Amino acid sequence: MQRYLSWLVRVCLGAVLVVLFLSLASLKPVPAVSAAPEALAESNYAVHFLPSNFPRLCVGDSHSYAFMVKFIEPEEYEPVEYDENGLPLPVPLIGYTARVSATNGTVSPSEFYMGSPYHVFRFTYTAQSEGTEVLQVTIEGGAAGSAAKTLQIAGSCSYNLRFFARERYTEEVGGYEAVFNGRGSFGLNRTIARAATLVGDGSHTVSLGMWADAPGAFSCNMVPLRTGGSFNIDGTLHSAYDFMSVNLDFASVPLPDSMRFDCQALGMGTVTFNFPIGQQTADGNSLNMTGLTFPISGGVDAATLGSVRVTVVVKQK
Amino acid sequence: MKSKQHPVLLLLLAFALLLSACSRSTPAPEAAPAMPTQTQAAAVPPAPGDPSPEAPTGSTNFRLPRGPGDFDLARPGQGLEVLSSYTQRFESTSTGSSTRITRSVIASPQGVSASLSTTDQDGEPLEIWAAWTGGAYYLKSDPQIACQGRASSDFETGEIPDPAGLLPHVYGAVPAGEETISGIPALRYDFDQRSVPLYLDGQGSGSVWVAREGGFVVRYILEISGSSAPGAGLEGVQTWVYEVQDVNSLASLVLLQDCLPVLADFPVPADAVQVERLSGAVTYETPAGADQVSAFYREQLAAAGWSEVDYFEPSAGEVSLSFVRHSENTQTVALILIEPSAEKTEVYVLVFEEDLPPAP
Repeated sequence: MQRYLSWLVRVCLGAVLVVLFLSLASLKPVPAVSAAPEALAESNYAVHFLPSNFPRLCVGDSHSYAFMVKFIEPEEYEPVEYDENGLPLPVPLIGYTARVSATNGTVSPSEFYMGSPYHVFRFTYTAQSEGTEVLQVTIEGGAAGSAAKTLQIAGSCSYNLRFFARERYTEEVGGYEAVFNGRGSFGLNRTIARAATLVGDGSHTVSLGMWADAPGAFSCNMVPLRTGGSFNIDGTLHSAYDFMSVNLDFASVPLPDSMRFDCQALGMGTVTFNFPIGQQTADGNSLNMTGLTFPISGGVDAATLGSVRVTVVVKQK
Repeated sequence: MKSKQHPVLLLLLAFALLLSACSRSTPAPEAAPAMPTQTQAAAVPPAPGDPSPEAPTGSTNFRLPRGPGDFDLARPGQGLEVLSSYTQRFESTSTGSSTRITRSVIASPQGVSASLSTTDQDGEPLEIWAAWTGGAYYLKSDPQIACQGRASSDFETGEIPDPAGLLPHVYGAVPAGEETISGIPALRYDFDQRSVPLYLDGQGSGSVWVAREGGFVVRYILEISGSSAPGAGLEGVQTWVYEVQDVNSLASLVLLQDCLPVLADFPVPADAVQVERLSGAVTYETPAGADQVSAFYREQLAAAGWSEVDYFEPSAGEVSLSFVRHSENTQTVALILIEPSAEKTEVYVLVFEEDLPPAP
């Protein structure tokens, strides 16, 4: 009997506890007054650096970078707020900040207010000291998410420039080829913050060759005309747009005043002809190699001007 | 016997109540059925290779108010991973600003191209086009700069995100029949703001079309107005339009017109250093002399179908080689410029296309 009573007491006590537990469990949760930042300890924002050259910058260079921040909508929500009817609401996507930090330079702006499920932000980075830079984007204010990019900062930058222009024409009885070829280098002359002028020079060569063929009759090749000169390089580094525009300015150079052809004619052996052409000049500016644009990391600018193919390659030294 | 039944009944009752209490420990505003996944609701068998849909994640999370239907879209990008190719077109507008993303993906040979047109925090336009294909990365980050391509491993860049990840999730959409979208048979589901947790307090409606085969979203449209959530400053009308096209039909990615192909496979000597593979150009340095570099290209390019053409030295101290390779209407020209110096030899390779000379 005593064992039965004690068992009954335990069962009843258990039932009371169960009922008490049920009562508590059936109550609606107390509405949260405000968002609980701790509830968002896991990354709930994805940060993507948008495509951009992440070149080797130089001290003093500025470059703009863009990134997208997007809310990672959960497949099942865990709301931390409730409406007036006690129904759960998703956490509001307001009040958070995307902050950009750098170790070797400055960032402007560095704070971005977030008020919607996704944003595209852009900032300008200015390199201040040599070394490896880490650009870090961190979501703050209770949300979480981050991304980082690294780039190298050099003390000073200069560039090599190489250009090659060619026009070649052939037909059944002959043809000609003209080559305009040069190389130079340039550096940056900083004037104001976030901008610079480009200063440099180079040398170039102009070559022209012609040939004529009449199978079974004769074959003539012109000894290539060659001349050369110098050119100046100037331009501007546009930090606002992160590219440099480069201009090449050529002095006109005189060409030889005669053309010499070596011909082989049937039954006549080799015959050399000289044709006086008078004083002629070659003017590289006729190709209008101005306003060439390159990323500040260098690159290729190529174009076909009429029948002339022009390729310009700029490389950081 | 009665005196013994009572505690047993109590125990059973308590146990039943305890189970009930445990099962209700997560309060729900309404008895919500287990959430079917996107593909489960569409009743579409998974495509070959499609990862199995994840089981609903238990009952520990709250159920938000949802629409009256059974269809849920919790993973808008699901199903695309098994396609051999596709193009996504996304546009979202909000109070005068818009974001457009076009993204094409090819599984083999692997490649992605994407364009983004939007505005930054100051309302300044931002237009980016980028592609990764053939082992090279192409970027046009400003309309004023020619497209630049590189294959060097130190060319670090970012990405344009999958636009499907920008679509608001939908819970409780209602079946609305079948339609064919861009040639793809699809099941249509309609919904209003009750189904969109991000915009519960707005007014609006939308539809989503899910491919019968593959279960991926073919089209998604949504217009919401008057929503103060999720954040201030977004009152007004917001729209989303998303569509998937070119399903399994893209043969290759199309580069922008000013994107010269990167010379990712053009041969360079084994001892080349500082190799930069660019759009239409390769540059490098080598300890080899000009004769060795010339011999290398005469052998390599002849084996690859190139023919050396007569050419004259453009300037003293340099060696230049010229090769051509003919195709149907054009000829490709490869110019090798070799600049020897006391310490090293610098080499520039330029490749471009020319119209074929008229036939004799």
